[in-house]
Amino acid sequence: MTDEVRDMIGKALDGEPPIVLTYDTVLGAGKRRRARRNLGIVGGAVLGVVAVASVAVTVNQLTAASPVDQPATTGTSAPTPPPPAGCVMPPRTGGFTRVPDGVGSQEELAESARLTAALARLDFRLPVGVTMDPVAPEMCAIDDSWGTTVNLRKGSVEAKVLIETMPRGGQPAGACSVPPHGSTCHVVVSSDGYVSRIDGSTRGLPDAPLVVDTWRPDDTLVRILEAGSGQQLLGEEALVRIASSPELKVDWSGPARVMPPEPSAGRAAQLTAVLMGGQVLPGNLGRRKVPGAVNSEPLAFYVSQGGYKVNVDLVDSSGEGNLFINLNPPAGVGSSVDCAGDPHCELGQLPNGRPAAVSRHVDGELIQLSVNTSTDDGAQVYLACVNQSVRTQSGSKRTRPEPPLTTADLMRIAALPGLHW
Amino acid sequence: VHDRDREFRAYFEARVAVIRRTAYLLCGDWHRAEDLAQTALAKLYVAWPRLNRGGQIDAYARKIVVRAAIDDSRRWFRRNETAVDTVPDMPAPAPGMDDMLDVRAALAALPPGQRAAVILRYWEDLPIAETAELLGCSEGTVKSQSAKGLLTLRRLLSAGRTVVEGQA
Repeated sequence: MTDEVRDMIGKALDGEPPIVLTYDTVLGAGKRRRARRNLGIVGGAVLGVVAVASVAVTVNQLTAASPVDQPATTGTSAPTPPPPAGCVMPPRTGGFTRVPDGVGSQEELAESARLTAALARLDFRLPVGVTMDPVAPEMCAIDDSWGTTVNLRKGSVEAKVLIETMPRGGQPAGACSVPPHGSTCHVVVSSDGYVSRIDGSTRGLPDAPLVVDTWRPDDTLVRILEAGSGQQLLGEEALVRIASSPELKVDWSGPARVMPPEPSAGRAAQLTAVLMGGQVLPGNLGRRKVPGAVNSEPLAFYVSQGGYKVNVDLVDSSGEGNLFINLNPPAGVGSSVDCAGDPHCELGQLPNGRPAAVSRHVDGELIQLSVNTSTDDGAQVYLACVNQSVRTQSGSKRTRPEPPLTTADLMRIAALPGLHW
Repeated sequence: VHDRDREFRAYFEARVAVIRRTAYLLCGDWHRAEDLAQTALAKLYVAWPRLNRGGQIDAYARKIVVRAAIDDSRRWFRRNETAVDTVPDMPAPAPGMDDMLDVRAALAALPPGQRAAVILRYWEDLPIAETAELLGCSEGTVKSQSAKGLLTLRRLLSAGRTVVEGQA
């Protein structure tokens, strides 16, 4: 359970902004704090004594968070250095597509060593004046991917670059989703079939990272992120070139993650057509966009948080309610439909025979009907209908006696043949 | 002094991101997280010579961050949030919800003590006894706080519903 919970919590770190805090800032603050403390304790005369206090920390301790080395070889008399043993990314290192668990199989370590050796042959073609640390980065096993982090510096400008490579798993090349708030995103397709998406962040953060995803014809997907407190030191062209380099090709025949297509505006439009064509709403129900909706039509899917959502207020003579649909990507092995101990839930069956967890929750005046199920391709579908609209949402007050749709209506929607990832 | 600074710098480079992330999960704000990380690392620098081997450096940094974050979030919580007994069962759509991350919102919905218990137990992977020591409470309290927090998180997240920050 811990891993599952950790993965869940780790999602809160998505979109992590680059670190502004510098070593010099911390060092200055630390020295000031130390000086104040020393003055407070023994007076200024002993400052020099403290300054020469012995250091009781070993280098081993300091490097506890560096890539986890594998058991060292014992051949101290070997005439040639042993081949790289591979490394594992320290657990919970952020910035990569998965949260590293700090564990790597022998096969993953072997690929780590191979990629590290390959990366050593890559010419980063650093711009004049830019230095890179470490000079020879290691591609460490993350989960089912391999990655590294390098620090770039030019004068006072610092940047951090994360490189991650993984099996593409047949995933179609991604596109730029419709940005809610002015993302800078575009796609570059090379003549030899490399598709790179360059995304300058959708979150409007200052110093937003530049992210390049390259779907390669050699069944490799490479993601490179450059983040810094100032100008970018590599930039789009260099990141695309690195992401397309043969040195980052993954050679992996072991188990790899499920790589469903990324959500796209095009697929959202198709899903909307499924919904509209299914005539799933009673004819007397009007549809209203919720405040702040990014979709142009009220009853429409839109890309959100790695999946597709519908959020629409429904209106008839009884009042206003809300329908919410969430379609999440296939969850892979282990996903199942169940009530997870919810006493208000029971297992049912959709018109197409698939199992569904159906619940009715009552909280004061509010009533929520929900259906949880999965599609043939493993996508997770969640529908909820409440007797309260968003437009008129007012605390815990209902805006109609019952939800505008019944459980049977929700199950009918969930069973629409075209409703899948 | 030179060795001390060199070693501290190595630690800083390796751990600043991890410390900031823990701080962020506890406080929910990257700017505050950065402040907390700076405070923790500055205090760590002062204590550097007396820290022993065996992971005490991380433990010390974690303790500073956790305690500062809880103090900070309790002040912030009183100032900006209205405590509720139960989280809403509804999907709580609102303007701009595309920018809201479910997990962030769900974490923000937890009272500071529960949030810290969940983060320390399930993100930092600390044993109950160490979590209790860090939070200054009993092991039973850690168990109940982490269980309640986890239950709330699951309720908010398991169905894939969207929760809007500040509303839960």
